[in-house]
Amino acid sequence: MNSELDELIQKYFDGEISEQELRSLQESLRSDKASLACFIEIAYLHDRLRGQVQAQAAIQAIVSSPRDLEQEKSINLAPASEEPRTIRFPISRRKLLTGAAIAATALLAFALWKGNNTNALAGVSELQRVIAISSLQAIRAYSIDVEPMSESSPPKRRRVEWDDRKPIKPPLDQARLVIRGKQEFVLMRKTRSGQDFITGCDGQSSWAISPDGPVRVSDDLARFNRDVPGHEFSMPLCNLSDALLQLQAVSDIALLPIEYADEDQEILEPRRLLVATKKRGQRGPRRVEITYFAESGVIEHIRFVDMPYGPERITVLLSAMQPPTVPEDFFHHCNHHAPDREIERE
Amino acid sequence: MDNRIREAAKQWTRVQPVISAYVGAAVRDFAARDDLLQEIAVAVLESFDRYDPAKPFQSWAIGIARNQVHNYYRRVGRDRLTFDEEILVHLAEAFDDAGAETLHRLQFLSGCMERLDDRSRNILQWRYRDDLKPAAIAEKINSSANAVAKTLQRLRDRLRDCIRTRSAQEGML
Repeated sequence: MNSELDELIQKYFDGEISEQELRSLQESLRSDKASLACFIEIAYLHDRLRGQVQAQAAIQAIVSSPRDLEQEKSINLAPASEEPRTIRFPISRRKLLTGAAIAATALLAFALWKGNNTNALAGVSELQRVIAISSLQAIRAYSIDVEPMSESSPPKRRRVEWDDRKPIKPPLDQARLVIRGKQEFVLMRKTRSGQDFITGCDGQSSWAISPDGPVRVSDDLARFNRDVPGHEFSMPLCNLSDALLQLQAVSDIALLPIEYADEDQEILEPRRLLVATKKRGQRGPRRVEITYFAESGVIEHIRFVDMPYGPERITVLLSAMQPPTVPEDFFHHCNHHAPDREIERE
Repeated sequence: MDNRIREAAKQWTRVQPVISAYVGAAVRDFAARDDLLQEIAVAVLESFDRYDPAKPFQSWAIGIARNQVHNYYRRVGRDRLTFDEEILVHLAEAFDDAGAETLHRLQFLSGCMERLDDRSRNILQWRYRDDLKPAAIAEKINSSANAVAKTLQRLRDRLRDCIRTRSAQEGML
């Protein structure tokens, strides 16, 4: 590669080129295909670097917020056979955003604020971007909070048909969900008596660890995701990417303007809200609200309104947490119970 | 949502990296590039009914982008350090004709960036997150604009070499 040409191109992109140098560069681009190819290569890199660096900055912002430190202390991801220990959560940079173009799509969608059709297109485009970015993250972790149903909700909406012979599901409130890829997950809940109840899947088998009794393991990967919110709509949150994709099919998507400050006018990193409202006749949560960082597309919160969970209908808030560092076999059940625990294969 | 909008969104998402790189090459200022991309997206959506599906969507969208860049320069005035009209047309054709390999190889960028030291990352952040030019970065680190410009060039060259190496390992070259 011609290093002089290379230098000219890079000076152009850094705004350091002189008039004479620009004329020389233009002449090369006009007459030489190899120069053109070199220019395009650097142009793509330059464009992509912007998105990449901005995405990293956004993730860094999540990592370094005070809330993340609290969450870090409250999670115990150690195997049951060891003393509980605090796990360090270095940022996983392995699978960050790989295209400035993806980051730019948000800005493009923001501009499409012209009437219902334009906004719908912007919403779909943004949702696709958020999904793409979510799927790039190797490991994702969420805290789950259940919001009380509004007293104004009709009583019949608060309960669904439920077979009383089925076991009561442990509460989802204060649960933790760790996800890798599309199939691996660990959902950590507490029973009403405060004991651990953990379900998960490692891509080979799914499993459930209740406070008592054997560890149940099944080759049916979906066997124990029935406790994961969204299962009833075939969009279990352990496969968040597919769940969000399905939202597009069953919901009207609206994109709200970027917010630069909170209610107290404290300046925040710009955030945006996507709202998916279920279409009449479709199955799914009544409403899903996705709050994400406007520039990077990284999700901050997802709120599922009116999701069935056992006999109840609940509103669930998933809040993104700092991706934990976990052992490779974290999603295998052995990581979560004493080695002498009885295993029962279903 | 009708299928037309869905189709437009799908097509746009696919070609947007190419359009973004082209516009970024024509209009170096990041903020201006972002604004222009918005306008191009609007133009693409509003004229999607006139798009002939028998022809490549990317070519059609780049044509719109080229026109929007032209309009942009008519609005702001062309300064002496921007490409002339002929080159912009030439670049648009070249971006459209360029194979997808260059774009696909960029998937290795994040891995290559992990190997940079902190100082290098800081310089990239100042350039690409904060949109500082070499002179402004030089002030921050008590260096010269020329030295910073050289450092940025070396960083990009390292990243390009790394991307090429990893692409070759993956059999992409």
